[in-house]
Amino acid sequence: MAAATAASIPGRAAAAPPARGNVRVLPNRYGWLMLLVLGVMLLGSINYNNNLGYALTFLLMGVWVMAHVHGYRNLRGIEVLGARAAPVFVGDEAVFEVFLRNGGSLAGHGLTIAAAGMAPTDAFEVAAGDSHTARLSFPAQRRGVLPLPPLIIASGFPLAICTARIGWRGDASATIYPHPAGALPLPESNDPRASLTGNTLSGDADFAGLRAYRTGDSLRQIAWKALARERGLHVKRFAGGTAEQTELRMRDLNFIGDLETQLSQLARWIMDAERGGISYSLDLDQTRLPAGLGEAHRDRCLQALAHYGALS
Amino acid sequence: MTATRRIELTRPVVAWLAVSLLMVVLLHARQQPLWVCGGFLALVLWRILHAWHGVPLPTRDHRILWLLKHALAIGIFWVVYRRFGGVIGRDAGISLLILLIGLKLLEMKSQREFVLIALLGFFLLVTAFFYSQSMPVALYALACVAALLGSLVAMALPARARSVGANLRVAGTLMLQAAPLMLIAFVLFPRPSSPLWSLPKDARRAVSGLSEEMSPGELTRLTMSDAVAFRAAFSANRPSVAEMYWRGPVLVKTDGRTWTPGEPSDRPAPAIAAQGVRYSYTITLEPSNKPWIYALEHPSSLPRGTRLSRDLRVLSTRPITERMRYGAESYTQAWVAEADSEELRAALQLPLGAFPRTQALARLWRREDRTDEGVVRRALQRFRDEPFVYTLSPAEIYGDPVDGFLFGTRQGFCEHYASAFAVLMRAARIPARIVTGYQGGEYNPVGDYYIVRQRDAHAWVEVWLGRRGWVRVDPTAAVAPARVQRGIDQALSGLGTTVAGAAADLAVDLAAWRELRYAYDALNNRWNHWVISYNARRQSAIFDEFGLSADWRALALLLGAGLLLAGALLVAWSLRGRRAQGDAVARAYRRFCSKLAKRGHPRAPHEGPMDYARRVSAALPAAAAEVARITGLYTRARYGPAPSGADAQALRRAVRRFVPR
Repeated sequence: MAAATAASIPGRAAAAPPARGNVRVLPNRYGWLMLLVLGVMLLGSINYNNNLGYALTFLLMGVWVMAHVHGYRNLRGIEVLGARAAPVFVGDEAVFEVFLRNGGSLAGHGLTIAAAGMAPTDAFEVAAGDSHTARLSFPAQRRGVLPLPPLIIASGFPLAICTARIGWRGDASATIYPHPAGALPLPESNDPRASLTGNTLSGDADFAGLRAYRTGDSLRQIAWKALARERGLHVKRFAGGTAEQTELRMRDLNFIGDLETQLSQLARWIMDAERGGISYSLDLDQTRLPAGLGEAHRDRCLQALAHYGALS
Repeated sequence: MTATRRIELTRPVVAWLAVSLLMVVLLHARQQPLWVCGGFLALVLWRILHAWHGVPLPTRDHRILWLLKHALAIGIFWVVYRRFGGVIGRDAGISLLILLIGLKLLEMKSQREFVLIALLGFFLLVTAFFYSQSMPVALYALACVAALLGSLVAMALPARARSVGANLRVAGTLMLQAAPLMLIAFVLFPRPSSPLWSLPKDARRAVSGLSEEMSPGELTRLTMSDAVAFRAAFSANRPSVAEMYWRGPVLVKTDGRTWTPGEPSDRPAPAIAAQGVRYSYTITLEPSNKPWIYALEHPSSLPRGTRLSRDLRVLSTRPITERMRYGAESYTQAWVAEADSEELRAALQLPLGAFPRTQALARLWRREDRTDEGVVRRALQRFRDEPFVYTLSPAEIYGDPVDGFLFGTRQGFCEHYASAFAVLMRAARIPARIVTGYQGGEYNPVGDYYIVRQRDAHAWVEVWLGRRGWVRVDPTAAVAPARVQRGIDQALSGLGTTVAGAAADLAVDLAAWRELRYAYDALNNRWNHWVISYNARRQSAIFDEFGLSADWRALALLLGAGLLLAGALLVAWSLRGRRAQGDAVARAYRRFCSKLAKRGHPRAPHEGPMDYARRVSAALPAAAAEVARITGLYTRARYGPAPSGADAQALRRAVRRFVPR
């Protein structure tokens, strides 16, 4: 379901300034462990007055220092250009695409991206002057807006004894639609003529064939004749845009549980109406969207649901 | 702060570590028992077989193997305990370390264990220096360091683990850049003059060398050793090889077989009447663990911290546990005409009832010859006339060792001649004592010094000839003059004696080979001098030259300052990269954009250079050609396959001249 909507909706690309030059390199626990081992080696060299022991210890201490410099160098050219995510429904994974570029003259090795508290991505490499798109998924748990948490781009290059990090805080976010759920059928068309003529349809709609019944299809559309001929449950389809129209009203749902259930039902209806080719308008009391059909309209409606009740 | 990801150890990564550790353990193969190295190899193979063929590791899933591993661990402790009588000593500790690293390798699942094992590898490497600090060992250790660092690089970048060259290049770069820091720390790190805590008993390896005891076969054993005792470089004149008697322990007491030193005397050393040429020289003494050093007979000037004993040995206050370099001066023609009655009485002592035939012969000579010199001459004459043979492998002597030698086998090495001669003298009431030491040396024309090896060990006799004092008599020279005149190699090969490695000596005769050997020894000497025996004394000597005092505070200060300076330079140098050029390109392009922005066409943040150029060209057709040229130069300098400085320069020039119309 996410895939159905995701591709078409342009995400909001964050226009944060490229993060660069704020690389922090710190020894990690292996680095401290190495220092400890080097300390023991130094003590041994002192005690045995062993000059090659001194030499080796000092060489490795030098390596320890230079590893940090190399770690810094490794991340220095990396800049984050921005991030974006397509909207998803609650319960799906919001996938953020993070765009990186290596503006330096050295390749960036063994890079990972992680949000605080999350497992980092697989290591990747960005050659000098190259770009990379990293994908980070977050579970979409609540309706509304899922902001991209602060990211940390890290690398243990070259010896895994230190970690170089770039922190990046972009204002990218993913819109989380309510999870489409609910068993109520689409409301009857409020077209006075349609309601008068019962299951006959307005004249300017042409019958366009049958298709298999799916949950949520309007009872009015069911091809009763086909059912009577034991050909299974089908619904009639009609071409010509304005053939059917329905109004999805929040206040009609006041009787079914809490706000989120109502929004879920509305999302369900929007998806059903889209699938059924029924043009629909949305009435959320404060927000009203005129009747329409198609992906753009659907996304507008779903976004209205997603942002419903938000302060903005 | 971030949750760590479990990094899987891929095959190449495991192989990196396995090979590096094997390299390190190979360095210990000479000192460690075979079963330790073999056991380690088996454990490594187990791990490799697991990585490649899925042979199970002793985890909890495989109960039997898991128990086996624990049994192994306990077994290792037990065997090491039995073999070394403890697990604390140096050799035992290293055996344990090697085998426990092997076991740890079987447990290795994650990055953490990998790094721990690699670090233990470094530790194991440093312990190898307890045994040898020679140049080849140092070079090999460098290769081990590169391999271990390469393993860490492979683990940090598992995707690239397969590219051996790339990982080694990273490791090599790190090592090269660390070298200046190492040099500064090596020279300036304050060297303490005594150990921080007491060393384990086996820390000082038994080294071959002269001891204060001589029994038949003692020196013969030394003669098998090619080990260097010391090297001596003469500053101006140098004596002939035949004059080079390097004095060691003086032996007075005997039980007929074994000779030991006399009672230590606290009386001052006798005056030495010098004559002839004074030789000054510098000796680099290998550690002997003995509290004396060697000098040419007889020294007139001694290094600081040593004193001349009553029997003219040069004593040090402490055993020589490190290579030591000292200067001394000697006169080869000097005599010592001072002795008290007690010393002379001690030099006449003979075990009661021993060597009856020898004593009878000496008494006969005494009766026939009034003068002591006459008796000495007769004794030497006998060695010359009778069929005495100078050999390293004398026939077994049964019964009385001196009688058996003088009247029986007549085959012996210098210790046989010296001890028989001393007994003869004492029996003739001439005070005599045995002096052990080294005689001669091999000249190294490359380094212009003499190499004195253990096989140059020698024993000679000093007799007290009244007014002339203690006079050196070398009975071996009577039998085998070549030994003294040309050195031990010629003496033995001339006599057709089989020396261990005689075949090798044939090759040694090849001039080119000899040349190479000398060059190597000279290099080794430098290495020993500058690297291995660098110590607190040499440190302060260097500081003295700059007029500074080398107390630890000054050293620490200099060390800190030096490291900071070198570190800053290194960081600056390694960060300079090709950044400057890249920046210049970016700066030029920014200038180009701002020129256009002033004309009302700012570049949108999302706009790539090509899109921007298209838009600007459409808006300003007059500038289109120049915009296209600049954009082309910029993209080439920035994103081209081989950005050149020429492009960057052309871009800068073009932007400077660019006027959008």
